[in-house]
Amino acid sequence: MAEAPQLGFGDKLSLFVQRFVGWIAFPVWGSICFLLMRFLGRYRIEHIQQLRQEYQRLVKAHPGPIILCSNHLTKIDSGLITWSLGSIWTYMHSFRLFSWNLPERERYFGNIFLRLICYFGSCIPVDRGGDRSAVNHSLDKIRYLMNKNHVITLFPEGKRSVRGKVDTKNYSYGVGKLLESVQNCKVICVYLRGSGQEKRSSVPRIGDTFYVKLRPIQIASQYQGIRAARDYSKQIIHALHQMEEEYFALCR
Amino acid sequence: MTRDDVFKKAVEMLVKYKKAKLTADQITEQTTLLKDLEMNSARLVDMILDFEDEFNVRIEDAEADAVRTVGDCVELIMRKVS
Repeated sequence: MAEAPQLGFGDKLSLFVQRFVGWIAFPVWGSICFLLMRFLGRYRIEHIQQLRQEYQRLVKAHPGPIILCSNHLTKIDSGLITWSLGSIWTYMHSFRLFSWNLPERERYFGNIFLRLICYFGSCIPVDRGGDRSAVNHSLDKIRYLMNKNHVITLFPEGKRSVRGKVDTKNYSYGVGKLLESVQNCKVICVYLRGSGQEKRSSVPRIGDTFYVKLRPIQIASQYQGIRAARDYSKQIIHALHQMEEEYFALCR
Repeated sequence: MTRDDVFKKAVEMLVKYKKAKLTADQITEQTTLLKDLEMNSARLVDMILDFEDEFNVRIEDAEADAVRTVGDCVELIMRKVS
C-alpha cells in the first residue's frame, strides 16, 4: 500500500473551490451539455431510468471511494456516462454521484471553452507520458479525493480503443496504481457503445442510441506494489472485455 | 556482474517493450526510455518487474519513477545487486 498523498493546503482548497463552483453552476452548464447531446447529437440512452436508479443504488450502498472504469471509444464518453447515470436534478441533489475525470491536458485544455468545461466538470488534467513528478502530483490529487470518498471515472485502457474494441494487450496500469494505494475502493465497470460505433472516433454518429451497462467487480491480488497494480488493471480490462463480448452477443 | 554485463542484459530485456524502430545496437546508456524508445508508462512497469525477476531485486516505486534512460536502469540494477 502506497503512502497517503501529501497534498498542500492550496491544492486541497483549489479542489474544494473547483467542486463547489462546478456544483453551483451545474444547472447551467450541465443542462447545456445534456441538451447538446440530446438535441444536437440526437443521442439516446437505452433504459436510462433503470440505469440511473442502478447507479444511485450502487453509489449509496458504498460510502467509500468508487472508481468507474469504462471502455473508451469517443472523446465525449465522459459526458455520455454522466448523462446516462443521472439527471440534472439528481446531481444537484447529490453531487457525490458526479464523478471526477482525468483528461489529458494536451488534448482537453487547449482552448478556453474546453478548459472551462473541464474546470466545471470536475476534471483534473494529467500530462500522460510527461514528467513523472507532474503525473504523480495529479495522481496525488485523485488519491486525496478518493480518500474523501469521491467517485472517479477512468478509462483503464489509457486511450481510446484503436480497433474499436477493448485492447487486452496494450493498456495503462494507472487505474491499478490508484487502487493499490487506496483502501476500500469499489470498482464499477461501465460498458458504453453507440449503435453505430464501429471503431474509435471523435464523437459518436449523429442519432446513435447507446447501450450502457454497469457491473461492480471484486478485485484482489496476491501481489503488492506495482505488481499488484498491474494485476488489478488486468482484471478490470478483462471484465470490460467480457462485457464487450456480451454486448456483441446480445446486440450485433 | 560488470556494468557492461548489466547493460547488455538490460538492453536485451527492454527491446521487447520499445515501440521505436531503434535496433539493440543503436541503444546506448544515454538513450531515453520514453522519447527515444517510445515506451509508455505501462511498458516501463513491465520492464521494471522484469528487472526484479531477472536480477532478483526489489525496486521501489520512487526508484522506478526516477528512471529516465538506459543508463539509469543500469545504475539502479548495479546499486541493487551490489
